[in-house]
Amino acid sequence: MADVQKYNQRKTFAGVMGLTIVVAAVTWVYLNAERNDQAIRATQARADAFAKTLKADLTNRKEAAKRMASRIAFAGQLDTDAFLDDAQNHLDDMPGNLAMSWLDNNFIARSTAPITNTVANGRDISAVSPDRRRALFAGRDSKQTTMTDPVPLLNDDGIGFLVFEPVFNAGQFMGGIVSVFSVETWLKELAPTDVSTSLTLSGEQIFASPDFASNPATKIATASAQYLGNELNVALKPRAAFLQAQQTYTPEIGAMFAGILTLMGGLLLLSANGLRNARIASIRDQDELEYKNAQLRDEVLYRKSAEAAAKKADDAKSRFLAVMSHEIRTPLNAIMGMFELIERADIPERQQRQAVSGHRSAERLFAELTKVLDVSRLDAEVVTITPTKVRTNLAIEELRSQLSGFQARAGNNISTELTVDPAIPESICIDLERVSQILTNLLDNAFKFTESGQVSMHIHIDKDTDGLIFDICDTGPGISKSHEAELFKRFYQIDNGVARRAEGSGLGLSISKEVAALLSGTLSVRPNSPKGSIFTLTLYDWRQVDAEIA
Amino acid sequence: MDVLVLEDSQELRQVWCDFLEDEGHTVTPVDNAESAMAAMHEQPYDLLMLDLHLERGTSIGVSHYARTALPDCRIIMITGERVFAHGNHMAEMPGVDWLLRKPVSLPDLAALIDYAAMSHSPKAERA
Repeated sequence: MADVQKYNQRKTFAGVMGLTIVVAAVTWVYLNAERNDQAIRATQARADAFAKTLKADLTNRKEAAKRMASRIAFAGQLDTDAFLDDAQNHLDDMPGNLAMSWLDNNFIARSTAPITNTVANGRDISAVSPDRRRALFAGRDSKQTTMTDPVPLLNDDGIGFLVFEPVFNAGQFMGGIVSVFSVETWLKELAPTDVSTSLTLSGEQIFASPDFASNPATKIATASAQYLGNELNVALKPRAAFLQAQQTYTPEIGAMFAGILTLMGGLLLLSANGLRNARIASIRDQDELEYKNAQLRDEVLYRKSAEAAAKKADDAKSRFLAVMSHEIRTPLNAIMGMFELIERADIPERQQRQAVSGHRSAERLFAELTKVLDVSRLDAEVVTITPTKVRTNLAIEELRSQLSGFQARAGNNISTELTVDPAIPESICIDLERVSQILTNLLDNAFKFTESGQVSMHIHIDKDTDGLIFDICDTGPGISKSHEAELFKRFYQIDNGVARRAEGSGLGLSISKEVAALLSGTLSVRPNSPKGSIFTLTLYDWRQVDAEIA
Repeated sequence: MDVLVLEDSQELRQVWCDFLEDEGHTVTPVDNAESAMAAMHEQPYDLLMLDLHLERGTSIGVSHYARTALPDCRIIMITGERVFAHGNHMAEMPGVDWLLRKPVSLPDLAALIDYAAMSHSPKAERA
């Protein structure tokens, strides 16, 4: 489920990214097209303005020449000095005019400003070129201002054109004023610097900026303007500075903003969707959590209840066993006590033997019932082990007394020995009652199964494991390997025919082994040499010294 | 000695009484704590033999009472259970001198009573 959600999220995010890219691209395309259109419009406007400027300029110059011509016509004759002054002033006021000449009625130049320009004086200007002739003759004939096509200027002054203003006095052609335009000089003052310019006059390009051909911008041309019978065309190509000046926005930034806005919008939608899904999931998870909590509470209650019931059962078992112990020991004490009283009384020997026999039977019964109670306690897990600090010499003396007691009952056929490792410290930490219980059982077995020889107890420390070892050695018949494995199981007994008291429930060794385990120790058996058995009780946690002294 | 025997088992009480009388002691048998304390009101005893667990309650209270009422008296507590297995009965029953576990053999009991008779002395000295 989580994988599907992740896949869907990735897919949606990819979609948002894709949309962002598309929006940004479309925005750029649109804005770029707008930018281009804006540039074209601006260039067109510039071109139209430039064309108007040129035409206006030409018109101003023409009018100025006309006024000069009018003064001459009014005077009826040329005042050369006045003409040269006027012409020089005209040239000074209107850069671009290379020269201004007075042509007589034969089109021979008589005066030229600036006076340094002497190349035309005395020449028949109409003979210089057919364009000149045409324009001059057309001006004379039409009595109108005329203009040549682009012509190479005299004195290698480049390309230009001439404007002829005819002068008539009383209907008589006196001549005219020729204004010589150098395109280069003329347009140098007027041509805009932020666009590449091309000027065409009567279809012939008379001017082009050096970079006009190489400028990759779109060429914007004006409509043809008529001037003195000639077509004047202006074409512009915007330069980078012009385009930049027109740019009020950058399509790239616009596209970026559009993309960012789209992305943010998409992410917001994603977040909103994610939040909604998270909320739904949270509610669902909360419901599940509450359900699990309720289950957990029920489980805890059930376990607490079970624990309480188990504890109650354990307490009941403990009480039962305690009561049973009391209920068994008290009447047995009465039975054994009665037999002892009878034994002490002055009665016939036969009844004396009967009392002794009854007393021994009661003792055996008590011993076995004690074992049954011990097994019940072990099964009920109510046996408690209470290690206490015990003075070693006192514990040894108690064991020595037990050994002596067994020997006294066994008679002279069996000798005893007790050895103690001097390395054992003055105090040891053991549950003395439980240890005594095990050792008593082992001694009882040893004396039971040894007809003659020795039963000995050796207490020492194992150097390797630091275990406290109690070895009970006998010189009885020994135990075969096949019996060793089964020996410590409940109700197991070895029937070898030589036991003096082979009776018993077979619980003693199993109880001893289980109690040894509760003491964190072990109980084992191995053959004695040359014959017999060695039962070994090993205790490991006997060095703790922070317990109370028993 | 004058001995008070508190034991709720009739048969075992009979055994203690017969035994103590055979040994030459004067015995007063009772089967509950109230009777024991009433008997201690009547006369001072030299020795108390108390069964720890009675049909109704325990004899711990009797031992406490005896400590103040009969400070010179010796007390043997007898139990059929594993309580105080490590000799820590003094904490609960400071007046008890010996704690024996059933079944108690009569020879052992005889030796202990002889010792009690020989060492009979005021409790203040022992403390």
